[in-house]
Amino acid sequence: MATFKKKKTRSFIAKLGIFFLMLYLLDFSIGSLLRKLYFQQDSGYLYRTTYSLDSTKADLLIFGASTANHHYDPSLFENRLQMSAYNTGRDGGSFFYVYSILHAVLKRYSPKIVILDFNVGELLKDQGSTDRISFLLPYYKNHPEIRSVILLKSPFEKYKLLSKIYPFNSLMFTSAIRNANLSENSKRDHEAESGYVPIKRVSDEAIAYVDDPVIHELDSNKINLFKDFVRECTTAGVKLYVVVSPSRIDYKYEDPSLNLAKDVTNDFDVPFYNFSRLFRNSPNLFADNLHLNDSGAQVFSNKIIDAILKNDSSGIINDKYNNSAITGKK
Amino acid sequence: MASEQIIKEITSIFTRILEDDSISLNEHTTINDVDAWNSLNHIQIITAIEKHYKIRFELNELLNFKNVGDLSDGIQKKLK
Amino acid sequence: MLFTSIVYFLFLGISVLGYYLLPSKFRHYFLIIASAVFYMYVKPSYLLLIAVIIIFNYAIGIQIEKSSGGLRRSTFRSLNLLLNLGILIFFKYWNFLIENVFQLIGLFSAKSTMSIPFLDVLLPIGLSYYIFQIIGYNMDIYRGAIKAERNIFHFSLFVLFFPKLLVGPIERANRFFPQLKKKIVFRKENIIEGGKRIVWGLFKKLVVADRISIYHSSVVTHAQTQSGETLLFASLLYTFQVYADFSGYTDIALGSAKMFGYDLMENFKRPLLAKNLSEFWRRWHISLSSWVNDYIFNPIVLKHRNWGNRSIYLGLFVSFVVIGFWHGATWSYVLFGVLQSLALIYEILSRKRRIKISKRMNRKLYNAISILLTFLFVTCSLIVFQSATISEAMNIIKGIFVNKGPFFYDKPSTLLFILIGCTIMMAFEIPAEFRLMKSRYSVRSNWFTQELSYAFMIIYILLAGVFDGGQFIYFAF
Repeated sequence: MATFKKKKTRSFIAKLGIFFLMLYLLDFSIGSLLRKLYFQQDSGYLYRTTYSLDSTKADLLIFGASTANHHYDPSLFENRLQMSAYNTGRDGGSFFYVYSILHAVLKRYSPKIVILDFNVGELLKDQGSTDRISFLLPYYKNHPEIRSVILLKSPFEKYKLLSKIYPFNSLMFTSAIRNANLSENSKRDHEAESGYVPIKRVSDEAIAYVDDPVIHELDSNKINLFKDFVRECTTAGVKLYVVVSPSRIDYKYEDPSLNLAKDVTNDFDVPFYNFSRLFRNSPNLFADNLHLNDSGAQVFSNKIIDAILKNDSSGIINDKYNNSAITGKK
Repeated sequence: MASEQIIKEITSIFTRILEDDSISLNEHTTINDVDAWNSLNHIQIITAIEKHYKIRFELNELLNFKNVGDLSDGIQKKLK
Repeated sequence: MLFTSIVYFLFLGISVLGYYLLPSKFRHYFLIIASAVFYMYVKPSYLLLIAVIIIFNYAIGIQIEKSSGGLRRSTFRSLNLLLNLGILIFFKYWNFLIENVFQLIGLFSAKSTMSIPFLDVLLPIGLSYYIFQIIGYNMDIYRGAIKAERNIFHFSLFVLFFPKLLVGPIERANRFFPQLKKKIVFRKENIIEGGKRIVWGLFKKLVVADRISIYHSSVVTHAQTQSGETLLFASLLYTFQVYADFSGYTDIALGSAKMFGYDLMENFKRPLLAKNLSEFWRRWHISLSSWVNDYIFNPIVLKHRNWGNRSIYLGLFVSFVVIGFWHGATWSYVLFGVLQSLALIYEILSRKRRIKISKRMNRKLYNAISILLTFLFVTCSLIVFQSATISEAMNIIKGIFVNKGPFFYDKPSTLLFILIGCTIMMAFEIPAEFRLMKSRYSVRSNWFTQELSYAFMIIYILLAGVFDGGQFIYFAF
């Protein structure tokens, strides 16, 4: 009887062991395949993140979320400022993401100019933006310098990352499709080699009014990362500009994130440009209440370049155009 | 009346109401065991049984019938 | 504590471990403590509320049983309804009722300066489930179907048992208490079966439901600008979403309970494959629909059985308005219930005609059309169900027929994730429903194939599950 029980227990443990072995082997093989597919992409938004973190060596970098991605056309910056430019902006990129890109870039080289596109509510404590730290999961393995930010996502992140598949959750089809160059978008994305993605739509929305004060608290992690962002740029000798893009939303109360950004940039002697009301009378430049369309991006990029030139007292930049009038034409 | 006889009579009532000749009941049969029997035609069955035996059940009795056996016992009680 | 969170599984693992390490006589107490900790984690004050509810109802149940006379007995029965429904109404329906009362008054008087006394009170999660469960318990005692539970610890566990605490199933005394009386023995089959069920539940919730939810909610928030095809597609998917969400969550609940050696009642039996609406309601949220059937429908219908079919119509109407309203304090939920009752009444009236049609058609074709029509009706009802207001629902339904524009599907990968998830889910259900694969049982006996399938399922959850931001939509009931 005792030997029978022992045999049963042994076979049970063996079966259990086989189960975990199956899990491990599947996770390892599929995870490795996914990693290969992910990093083999040569176009699209995932590739652009990789490029920003690993490869770009542009003199001028643009940072931010969707407003950065759709508002700044690097070709204009390259033409007028005579330096290479790249737009690292990504839809949904929270400040955790933005900081990580900068931190990884500075480890590799120091750009001459950095433009940080900063939004109302940028530093709010918000579950969604914490969840979107997932943008960075594929880079956990090869970028030890941003691991501490990635682990802010949740207390169990370290254990979830033991799985080789987990960093590529929800990415398998996009990676596969882009690898097969099946996506129609891939052609369009090759045109986005500078990182800038134009929006063609023209908004028909009226101006929005936000009458409620902000009741949520700011995220202390984001605040610290913002201060680090500014400090690291300054230390590395990077000329930093913090810019608030034009929008068609009116806020009755002051935004705490903007106030904090103003204070910090003031302390570090960094220019802070709030252009939120800039195109109030030009609704045709907008795609929706938060985003400029391609025409708007052209005008706005030139506006930023004008500001940069004006601010550049040491004259290291050569402006090709003496006439800085805004024509709105490409 | 013997419960066997009652169950035979109940079965013919079920067969008539549910329009199904293949129904066979025993004292353990519940509403889940017979495909055609559901909460909607249940009351038709009950009223038909009450009419047949000329009895009337209490609400509490009806709500406590769990299977055909309970139903048959309930009928027997009323017939005494 | 979300059933899909890591915290929950850590809690479950520790609880199961502690449960079996303890001598069997302590296990009930351990479960009560674990369940109390579970509820406190959600919100500490909820524990106080449920303790009060438990103590009062424990006493009421015993008093009902002890009372032999009619008046005393029915007094306690009324107390059961008053107390429990009163608590439910206070937390859940006060604002809705008071607002509608004031609107009604406003129709007759010009006094618009009266401010409505709204209550700013949070609905304790799970309240709707365990209040109904307790009402059923006391009603069973009143009818003489069961004896009152004298062991307060067993009664507490009946209410508090954490796998069913937040989202049901709404258990019955005659199913649950006998299980408590049995000696709990460790059987590895319980752990394995429970684990399998949990994995399947996680698949449905994370891979199917939460994935569709992202797409559906973004379509519906911009319903006015979406094309008719998009709205239709999103609405059809929503039906799969609600099913996967709720049944997946229920699977995790049942799997968790199984690990402790308890069998909770089934809540779903492949409802999307129902051939008509009455069959649907026997397969969907079974613990709720059977509760309503036993404590509302049957009493009404049997009491008025002299009216013939009209008693059934009344019973259906009241039952489904209750089912609708149980979900939440809005007119959309009420309309949802009304629609169900109207459709069910139609089914009764048209039964003979439908049988005639079925005899003239190929059986498989008839069944397929029946399933499709039932599914479409459920989809339509769910449009009403998920809208905050009735006008919102009307906008969506109108939009399906009227709105023009491109078909919105976000990215190809979104479509792929959704369609593959639904396909896998139905691939398990359809053969089970139609007994297609006769080799079903051979899969069951081969442990290696079983292990491999569950390993693949876990891997696919890692690949395709939505891990962040997903919210279980039935929570606020």
